[in-house]
Amino acid sequence: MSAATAPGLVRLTALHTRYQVLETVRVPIAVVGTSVFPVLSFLFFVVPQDFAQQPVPATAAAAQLSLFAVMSVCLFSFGVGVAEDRALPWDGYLRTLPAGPVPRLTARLGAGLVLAMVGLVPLVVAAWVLSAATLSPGRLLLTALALAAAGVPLLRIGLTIGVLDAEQGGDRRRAGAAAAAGVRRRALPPARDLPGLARRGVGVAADPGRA
Amino acid sequence: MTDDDTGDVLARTIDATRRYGDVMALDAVTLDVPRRQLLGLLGPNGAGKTTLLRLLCGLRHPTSGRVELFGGDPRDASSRLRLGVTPQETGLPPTLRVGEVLALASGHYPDPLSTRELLERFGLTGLERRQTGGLSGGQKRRLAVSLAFVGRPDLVLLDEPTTGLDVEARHAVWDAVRDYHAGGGTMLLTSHYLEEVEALAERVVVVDRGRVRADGPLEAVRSVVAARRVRRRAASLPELPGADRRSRSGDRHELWTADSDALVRALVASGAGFADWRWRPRRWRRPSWR
Repeated sequence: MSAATAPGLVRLTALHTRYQVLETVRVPIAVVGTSVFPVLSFLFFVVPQDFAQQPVPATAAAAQLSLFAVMSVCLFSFGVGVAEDRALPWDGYLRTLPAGPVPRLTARLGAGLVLAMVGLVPLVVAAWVLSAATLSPGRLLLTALALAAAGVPLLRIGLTIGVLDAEQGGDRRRAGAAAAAGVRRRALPPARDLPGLARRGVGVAADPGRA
Repeated sequence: MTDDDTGDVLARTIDATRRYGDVMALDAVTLDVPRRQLLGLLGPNGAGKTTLLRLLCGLRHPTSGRVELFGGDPRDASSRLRLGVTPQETGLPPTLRVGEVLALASGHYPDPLSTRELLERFGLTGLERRQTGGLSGGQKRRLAVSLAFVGRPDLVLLDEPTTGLDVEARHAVWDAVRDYHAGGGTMLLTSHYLEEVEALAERVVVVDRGRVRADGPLEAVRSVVAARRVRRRAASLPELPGADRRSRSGDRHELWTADSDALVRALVASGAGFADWRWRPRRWRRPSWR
């Protein structure tokens, strides 16, 4: 081999992050889904309400929608993304390149973060301009950190399902897992009060054999 | 690293066994890939060829036995620095451009070939800005094969490199393989086309049902695998000399033979007639292992 040395961890991570982001943004629906849906929900369900002009509930509503945005990015980019990638021959090829799993996993985290931020920026702008929501820069930073922390359990669920379950059944199980987590944390009503499809989803998550 | 530190064997398996659940994909396979050899791995689909390649490039670990790549464990990234592999099928990320795919791969190596050189060598010049999803099947395959050569590898593993290619594209890939070998490269190539292995390989290893069935120079192996299969429908068949193996299901009979001339002579002599005999085209045949 020549005197040139093999690329280090930092360069490999940057390389993989770059192409992960590129691959994601070239699929328009992925970008539209993450960046438009949170802000649309805010426009339709928060702005027309009376409480949109009261600082405390407006800020809380913006924060709640942000939480959903971050959680869905975590679940999708780490669950669906990993499961889909592992089923592709391209992923097998990438794993034969002389880079360990660390650069690729870190790149996935980085790409997820970029995507989550893309989703939050329009929402924060809308909340700031169209409602009475208000946060000091310090609190805003703190909220961003809290959101990242809240995404971690979802990220782990998504990753686990994605790695273990690299086939079509993964999608339904992932949706079910999200619903089950929601019920457990009381973000959603108890399973018996959910509409039929969601109830089945929670059941599937509890018993993956039924998917 | 210098050229001598791995000796003359670049990759090897020692009693390597791999099971997937109850399925025995590889059964105690011992195989050396010596430096500068162009080794052809021949066998029908499902024989274990791909599993063997996956062990050698670190995608799978053996259930038992050992696998070495450049003297190390293929699952260590550093062992794979001088290895070149091609994606299976034409599994390229459809949204990335040709130039981006090559840049992603070459970013892993200390001294990669330039994109221009690769595009030229594989007849892809002018397609650098095209997304891979918009390439023709032959172009995708050539791009996939070119990825194996990005890092100036000492050893290349090619899995069914020309499956589904037209004649012209197949010969372009063959030329690239011959150039690489002429430049001192080592290669392990799998195929279920006898023709392809004949055209390229110096040594042929025949794999079937997870085991090495024959291993030697091309000439020696050819006679073993050139067996042909003959089919016919008949209530019964006479005993025929030259048929190595026969099987029957209802009124369908199948005969395998290494010497088709002798079998035909015997058929004519037996008076069975051979108007509706079916000869399969000359591809891979599963011989009767003696």
